[in-house]
Amino acid sequence: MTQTALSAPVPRKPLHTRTVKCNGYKREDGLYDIEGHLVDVKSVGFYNMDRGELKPGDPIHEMWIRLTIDLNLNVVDVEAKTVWGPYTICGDIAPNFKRLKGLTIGRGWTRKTRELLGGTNGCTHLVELLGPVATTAFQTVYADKTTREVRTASKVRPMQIDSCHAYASDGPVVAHRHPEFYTGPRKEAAG
Amino acid sequence: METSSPVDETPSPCVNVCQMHPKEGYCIGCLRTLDEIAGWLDMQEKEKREVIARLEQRRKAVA
Repeated sequence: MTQTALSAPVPRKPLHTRTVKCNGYKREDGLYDIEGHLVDVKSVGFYNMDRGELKPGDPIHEMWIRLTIDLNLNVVDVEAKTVWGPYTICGDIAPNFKRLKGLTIGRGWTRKTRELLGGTNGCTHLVELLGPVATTAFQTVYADKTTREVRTASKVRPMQIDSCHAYASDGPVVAHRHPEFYTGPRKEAAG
Repeated sequence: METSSPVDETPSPCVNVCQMHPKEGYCIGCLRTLDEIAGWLDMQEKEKREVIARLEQRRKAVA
């Protein structure tokens, strides 16, 4: 993993660091735990009515969320915790995130989470975490979910095709991995 | 020339491992040779089925 892959920056000073980390685990009972962790720190100190003086590097936000899911991305259980927030009452809303139980990660996830937990029903940062947590869930179960037998039997067009430039249906990745759905040029077969 | 729609085509045996065995000359994931891998797109259905059948034999041989 590189420290930075971007070009040498102009003279500048850091103001804010947000760290988001997601982990996917396979449990012994066959379910999966997908956890998200968000931390916000500033490089400059400031004062806040509930927390008083925050020094540079003190976390303004620290939130954790765990979704327990099955292989089909159904949310079986939820746990959310606000360790640090700018206000004393921030953490009181974490139990609302149990509303995610019974949802399925997939199309409409972002819209549904906003319906259930948007605005005063939730915490914007815990809701934000649900974005990378959902995609981490997909990455975590993918190898278990798409065994060759499942793929071969279903003959369904894999959803990654045309989802990004690497998976362009006329590109080299689809030509190799999913040739049945390749739309690019082929040599004319003889006879 | 046989024509087939995508869902009728013999599916590629690729399982995204894509690593050639140093001695056997097959991909350790799908058990195809480089010629079979590179030529897959241009094969007729009959040829693809023949390749798949050979893979079964190779799988047993290396098991």
